[in-house]
Order: sequence, then structure tokens, then C-alpha cells
Amino acid sequence: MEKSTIRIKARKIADQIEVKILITHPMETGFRRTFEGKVVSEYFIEEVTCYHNDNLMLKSHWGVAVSKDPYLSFKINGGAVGDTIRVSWRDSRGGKESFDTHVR
Amino acid sequence: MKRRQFIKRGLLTTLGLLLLRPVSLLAAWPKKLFSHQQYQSALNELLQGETLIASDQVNLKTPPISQNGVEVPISVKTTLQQVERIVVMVENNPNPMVAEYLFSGSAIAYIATRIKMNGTSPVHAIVKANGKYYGTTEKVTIKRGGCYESGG
Repeated sequence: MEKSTIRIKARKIADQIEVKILITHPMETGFRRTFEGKVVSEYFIEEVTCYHNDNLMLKSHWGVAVSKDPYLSFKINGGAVGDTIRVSWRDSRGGKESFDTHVR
Repeated sequence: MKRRQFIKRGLLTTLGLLLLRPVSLLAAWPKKLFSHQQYQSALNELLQGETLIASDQVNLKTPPISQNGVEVPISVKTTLQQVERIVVMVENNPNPMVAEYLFSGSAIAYIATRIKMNGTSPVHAIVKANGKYYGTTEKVTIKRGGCYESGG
């Protein structure tokens, strides 16, 4: 199995879960040119969804101005060690991926 | 005629059912919002006639100066209750709309991310809470822009 483009760290801190997400993606703006002067067409993640034990927590819509290899952190009230955190993304060319982890 | 009525009713029922579900589950990627090239027009599109209330209950954390605009760390949090949505815009970017975050369930109204900035610009954080829009602004000075750079 290929390595996922998604890395998730989910930690229980006091009465919250802190989720940190890193996604490998070029996030091309469509403004950049190659060394030869060719415009690199835009290619970016449009939507990211985050679930806590199958409950939707966060749905996020991105444009080209989210940095390359995007980082996103968010928090959940309550929850427990061992809970499942699932993150999915879909990009402007129809590419998508989903990955889950357990709260530590 | 009957067939038309049937279709009409079907559509209305579907619409009705959709409206009952949380908005955030349904919202599609807001293409129009992302396409605006002026901050004011993007903001007008977002507000849909509502007013934006300047609020110190919205906390936007940015670096005052960034060496380059490729990766500017930002975070938004708020003490407002019933937060539905956080929107981030960079006023002087080619497309000011950066991202929106729709919250549901027991999610806390907080996000941290890294964004591209084409140059020195005000950064706006807008929070929709209880149907109203609240905002705050921080200026970030950029030494080198991030939209046309390689890796940007």
C-alpha cells in the first residue's frame, strides 16, 4: 500500500482533542511560471472534511492561497483516547484521499 | 401537467429535506466566492447584505512581519458562541478569499493553518456566529511575495 498523503496527530489535552493535519499536495496557484516561462496550471485541494467517530466536525473549503503541503489544526470538545479521527480531501482535478487515526 | 406537478413536488420535498440537515454538511465549494479579485466584492458576496461587526471577540494571530509570503502561519479563535463558520481573506491577494471553515458537532471554533500572501496586506478573519458576521483585521508585512514563487 502506498503511503498516505495525509498525516494526522490527534492528542487528548485536558478536556479537548487537538488535531494537527499535514497533507502532501502541490497547491499550485495558476500564477506560477516554470523556468522556461510556461504557466503552471492551478491544482489545489478544494475541500477537507474531518470526522470524530463518524460525526462531522469540520468541513473546510480552500482556494489556491492555502500553502503547499497544507497544515491545518483544529480542536474538539470532549472525546477520549482511542477515538477515531478521519480526514478526507478532494482536489480541483477530482483527486481524493481519506485517512484515519486514533486519539492518543 | 400531472407529471410536471409530480416533478415539482418531488423537487420541493427534496429541497425541504435538504434544508433540515445541517448546512455545513451540504455546502459545496463556493466557486464564486473564490473567484473575486477585489476584497470588497468578495466580502459583499460573503455577507449577502448582512453587516460586518468589528469585534474583539474574534482573535486573529499573525506574525507582524514575514520574510516571505509562501507560508504565513495564522490562527483564528473566538469566544463567540454558536459559531457556524470562520472565513479568512487576504485583502491584496489576486483572489482575496483564502479559505472557509464550517463547524459542526462538538468542534471548537478554532483553526490554525499556513497561507500564501502576495505581498504586505491586511488579513481578515470573519466569524459567522448565531447568524451574524463578526470580524477582525491584522496587517502582515511581507518581504517577498508567495503567489508567483516556486513552491508557492
